[in-house]
Amino acid sequence: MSQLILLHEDALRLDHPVFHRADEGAQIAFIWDSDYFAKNHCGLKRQVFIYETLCDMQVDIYHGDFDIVLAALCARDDIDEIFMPASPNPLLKARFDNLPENCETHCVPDEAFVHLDNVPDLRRFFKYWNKAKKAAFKVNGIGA
Amino acid sequence: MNDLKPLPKTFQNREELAEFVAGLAGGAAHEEGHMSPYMGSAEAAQARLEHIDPIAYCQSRNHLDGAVTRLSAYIRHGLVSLNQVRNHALAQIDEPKRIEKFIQELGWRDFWQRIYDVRPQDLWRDIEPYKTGFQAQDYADDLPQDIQAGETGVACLDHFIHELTTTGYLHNHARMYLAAYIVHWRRVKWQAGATWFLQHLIDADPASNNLSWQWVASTFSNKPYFFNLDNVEKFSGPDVNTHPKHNLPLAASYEALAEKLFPYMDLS
Repeated sequence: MSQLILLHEDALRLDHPVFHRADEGAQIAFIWDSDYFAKNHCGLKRQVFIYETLCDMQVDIYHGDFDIVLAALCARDDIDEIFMPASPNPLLKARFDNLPENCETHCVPDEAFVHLDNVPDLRRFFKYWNKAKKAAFKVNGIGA
Repeated sequence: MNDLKPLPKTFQNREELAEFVAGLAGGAAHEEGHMSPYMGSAEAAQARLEHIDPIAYCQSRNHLDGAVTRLSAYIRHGLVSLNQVRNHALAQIDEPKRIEKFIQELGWRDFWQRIYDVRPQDLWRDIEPYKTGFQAQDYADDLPQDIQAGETGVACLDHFIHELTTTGYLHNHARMYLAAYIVHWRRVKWQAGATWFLQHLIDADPASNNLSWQWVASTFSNKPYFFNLDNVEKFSGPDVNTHPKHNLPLAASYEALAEKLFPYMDLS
């Protein structure tokens, strides 16, 4: 039984909290799904930037349909626990929701910019900013 | 059956890597060049972070040659977090008030991401009606070819389009100029422009991009954003052609442009 950290384009750094949640030695993979990039209007220069970053991180990149590659990875490496960085992107949320049922899954958010007690009013920036401003000027966004 | 062989991680140079990715992308290779000047690596991200000057940013950020951080591609892809950028900036100064605009710009990004998280449907629909005096159906669905090709005949805008399509990066003020021109001068739906930006920008983020387009269009703001040639001249460096003869549609006062662009706008 082993763990898999499934990276995506929103979380390309090795000190993302997802790496602290998984055990040391967990497998790290990025599934290069061309359909996903097309659906997200991702141009070639940005794809090069992402690939270059993944090479720098020494992450294994697998090319193909996300579901097929993931199923093959889980079967090959006996994966029973998957960690994914959180994302607001509905396509990535859907992927997390559809991870294999026989795996324990964890969605790990990035460190917050500001920690707020209540959900802010998002109808206009300044409504949000009035709530967030104090914390935004604090180290780690804590202490409004 | 997928054989699960990882893709290569070592290349002779960036060009070879870019060619390989172009091969994976198949149909996406229509762009002018494969590479942006922005290198994807933790080291490059850290180097950018080390060079930020938040005080100079606050003084000059609206100038196209101002002290902007050019961290956007690294923030967008998580190579640095907003928290790390803010903490780094605070560590450089004694009085946080001196970098208020810098911190606030990070706040804008957090604001866009929060909307994306809770109301993703707002990214592609008009959040509010246009406040331009026009209805959504008055705007064209598709981006005209001359804009895509950078052949509008408006010199400064063609300069910005060329920069966008060749480097994958554009200063935020230039993005606003282009967005306003497309929506208000050419009367094209913001969605068409937003899609075009997403295809070219190396920092393309659906939330920051689309909601900024809506801010310019006035579907997520109280009034449309527009500009004139004097404004471009004020904020551009010498390499941008701002001669009135080469920028005729922009060469007018704000009052004259408002009358021309928004003849039915309710000014009450």
